[in-house]
Amino acid sequence: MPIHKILLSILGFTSGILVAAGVFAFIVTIGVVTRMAARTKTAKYAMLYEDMAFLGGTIGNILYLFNFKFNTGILIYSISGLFAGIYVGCLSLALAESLNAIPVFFRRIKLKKGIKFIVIMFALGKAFGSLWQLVFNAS
Amino acid sequence: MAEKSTVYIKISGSTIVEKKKVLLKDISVVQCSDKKIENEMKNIQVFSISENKKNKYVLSSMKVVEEMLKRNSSVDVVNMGENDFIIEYMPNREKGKIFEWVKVCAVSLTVFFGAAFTIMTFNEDVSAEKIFKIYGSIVCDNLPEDDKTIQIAYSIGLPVGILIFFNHISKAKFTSDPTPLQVQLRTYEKDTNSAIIDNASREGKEEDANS
Repeated sequence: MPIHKILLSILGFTSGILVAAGVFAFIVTIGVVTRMAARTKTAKYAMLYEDMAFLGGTIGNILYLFNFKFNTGILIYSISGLFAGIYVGCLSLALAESLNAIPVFFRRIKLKKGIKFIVIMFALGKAFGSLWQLVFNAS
Repeated sequence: MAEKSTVYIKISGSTIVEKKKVLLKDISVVQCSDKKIENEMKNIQVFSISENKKNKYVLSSMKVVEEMLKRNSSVDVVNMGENDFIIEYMPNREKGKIFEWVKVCAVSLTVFFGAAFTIMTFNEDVSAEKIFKIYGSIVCDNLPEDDKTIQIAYSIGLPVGILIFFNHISKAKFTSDPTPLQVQLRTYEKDTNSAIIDNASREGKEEDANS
């Protein structure tokens, strides 16, 4: 096997291992899967959820790098979009929460009630912004 | 004059009960050198649940001590467990197997597509394809355009890295540690319980001894 292929394989393999550690440590630590599992009281399936993350990451990566053309139809297309959207929505709020932005803000302006309303506004704002960016204003 | 017996109890931080009458043995381990007193104490009713639906109640260990002393005022009580604890009343846990399956499917699909989306956006953010081209030009002078060696190696390294991090393939674990997600779930549960206890004592909804 020519030397450059061996070097490329080593580089690719080690990069893959470390990227995996980073990205999936992020997914676990940011707490999205944790909260979904805890809230649906399905915490005993934690290993199943990790397997799902494993499959999703591996397959997503292969699809991205090798540009396979699939013709799965509108149903799988919309389902994948729906669930990816649910995940990204949870993720955006988990990021805001991990920086303690919301608690600090509430404490500063001494706000005690109305948290439910603010969360709903958050969700609607994100929905509106996302629709505007991706659907109405798409370039 | 009889010696005062010491009853040791270890109240657990969070207990799920299915009946409305909560006995001491449901929420705590009880030990005493006098076995008669131990059996008596185990069956004391420490709390009775009023509402019919699923709910969480925060109790103080002082209430437990009060009930124990009401039954037998000549014992010493030593609590080696939690000082504030939660009782969760969950009537009829049987039904809902289909609902549970639906929930597991929903979370699994979200995690699956979410992980795929995350790794794709990550690769896009860090311009992985550009880096692979740079690697190609470092290693070889005229690498053919469609040489996919490094992509293949990367796509093999990625799942290996995930498996190392998560510590298991399907049901087979590599070491006996809990997996990262299980550790996270435990931490989250502890934090949630502390928050519930603090909320309850601040709002005055904690069931405490009457004094």
